[in-house]
Amino acid sequence: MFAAASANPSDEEAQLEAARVSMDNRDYAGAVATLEDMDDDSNERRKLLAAARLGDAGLDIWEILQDVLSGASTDSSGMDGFFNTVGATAFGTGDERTARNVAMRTTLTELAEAPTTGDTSVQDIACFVGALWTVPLISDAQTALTTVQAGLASVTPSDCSGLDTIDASLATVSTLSTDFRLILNAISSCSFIDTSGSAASLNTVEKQLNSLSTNADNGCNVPSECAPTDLACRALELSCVHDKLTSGSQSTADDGIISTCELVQGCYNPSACFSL
Amino acid sequence: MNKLQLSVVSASFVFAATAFGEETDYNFESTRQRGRGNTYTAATYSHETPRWNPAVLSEAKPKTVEFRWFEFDVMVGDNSIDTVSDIMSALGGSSDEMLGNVLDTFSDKFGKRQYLRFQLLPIGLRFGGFVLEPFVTNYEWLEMRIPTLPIMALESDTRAGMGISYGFPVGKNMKFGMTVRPTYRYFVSADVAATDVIQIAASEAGSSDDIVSMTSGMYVPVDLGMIWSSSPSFRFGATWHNVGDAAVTEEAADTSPLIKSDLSLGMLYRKKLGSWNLDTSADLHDMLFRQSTSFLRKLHGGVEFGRPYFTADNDIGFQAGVSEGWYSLGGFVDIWLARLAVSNYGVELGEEAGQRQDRRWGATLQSSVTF
Repeated sequence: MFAAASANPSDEEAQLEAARVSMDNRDYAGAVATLEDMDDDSNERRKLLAAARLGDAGLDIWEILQDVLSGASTDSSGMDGFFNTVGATAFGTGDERTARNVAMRTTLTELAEAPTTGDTSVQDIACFVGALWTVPLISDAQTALTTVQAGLASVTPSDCSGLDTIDASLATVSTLSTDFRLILNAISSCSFIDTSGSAASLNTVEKQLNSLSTNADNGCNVPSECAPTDLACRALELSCVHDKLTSGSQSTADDGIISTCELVQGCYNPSACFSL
Repeated sequence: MNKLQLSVVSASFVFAATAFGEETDYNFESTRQRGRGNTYTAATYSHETPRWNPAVLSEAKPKTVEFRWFEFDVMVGDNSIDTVSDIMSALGGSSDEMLGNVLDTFSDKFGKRQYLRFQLLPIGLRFGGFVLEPFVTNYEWLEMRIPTLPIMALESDTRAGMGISYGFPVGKNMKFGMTVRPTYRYFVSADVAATDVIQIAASEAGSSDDIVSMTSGMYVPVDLGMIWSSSPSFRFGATWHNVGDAAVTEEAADTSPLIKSDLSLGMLYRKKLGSWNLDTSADLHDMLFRQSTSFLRKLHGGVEFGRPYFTADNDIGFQAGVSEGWYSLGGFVDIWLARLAVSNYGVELGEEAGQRQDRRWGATLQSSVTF
């Protein structure tokens, strides 16, 4: 006579609801604490944790959406319009940007490890977060790669002295390489980000990711044409630089993974690397 | 890029509403019973109580005819009232300014359900313990949650049909009743994921039609009721609404959500204070756990202090109560041809009692003549 068994809401459901209530009231730290205290993991918990971490880092998608719509000057609408209009400034600067990068990184990692695989709602959130994160990361990557090149230009070819000057910026590129890997993984199963197709059909983020994959996912190869006066480019031919860039890691063309070496060498011209 | 496929919000999502707590579903709402903490199971006879416990019909004066020609109930949430006011304030200026103002308005609406309900019972007839009562009810709500990754849901539920009730005594202390309520239901719902909300909000031409599920069908809910009274001052009641989750006709069974059953127990104690009655009542709803409410959400209690003037029922009264952890207040007055009731009450939208409130106002205007 009864359609299905039914039961009291579990403590888990009550805790999930408590986290939602906290977020509705914009108490994101409280929501993170509630969700982290839960004994049972679930995809719903992962999705809420993603929202809570973004909020705790000061990333309010509704506010970004408001800013995008109020300043919209694009012909496209919907998700294309959103990504065409949202800018890296939405992610702040300095410590604020760092905190948001950490939140994005943690969120994508946690969503990728959601207990039930193949959940479209989890994939869509990961895809959206990944696409959104692309905007500031491309900007950061251009800065870091330019700094690496400046360091490479000061390396003495005979004894590789001065190579240590690129350590800090190379560490940043290495982190960016890991972050791009998370993003490419996140957008791989997604209904609204598709990096294939003609340039005219892609939004800004899709273009940048398409260009990144096309230019950088080519293995660890020295740029084919280095002008004799381009000291940074010539430095890429040095074995000591090659060893530092690879650090024992593999770089395989078209494997969907952008290594540090691929990023430095494939995006030797940063401004051209990230746009079609 | 591939345009966002809004059709991914499949029918399987529609009834899940995982991020939106379900409020307890009742076939009707009553301003008066909401005022006394939503207690109804052992209530004494009044115009509306047979809708909840048909056994109470056996207490109506025998060999009398009651003709009701109008009843209108409206329930509206505080949030809805605020939102209408906010939107009116946001209107004006250029279209861009208006859009910005309206979006600003909704920045403060996360977790606040926008709710409106009305009930119209245009006519009702009672012959002794037998009642015929056509009805139309409708509620709508819309809600957004979680600003960082906004999600949205809405429901619209319209039911129209005929209530046919009969109550009869068995022995000295027992009363039984039954209602059959053939109902046509039109149910609209949507449960919209974060990415869909962004897609819709950022689109100049909304695509909301694609994500809304509409179902309709014929239901035949059956309610059973019982009252046992050991003395004029104490009574115990039991009701079982929508027995078997409201029998759904075959055509609707595959697509429409069930109207879930609700087994409730309750008591009422009446203390006479001169011409006035002080009624104390307590209910325990959803005893079969069909609506998945936590134990504290099942508890309801309230008092009504009133007295009769023209009818056997209290014709003026003041009420207070607690339902699902939220207080309620109410009052009503009968001015012979018309009866007006107003109440203010809280409805639980979360999982636990006292977790997430939607505060509402209820108002009822009804008219009847008894021969």
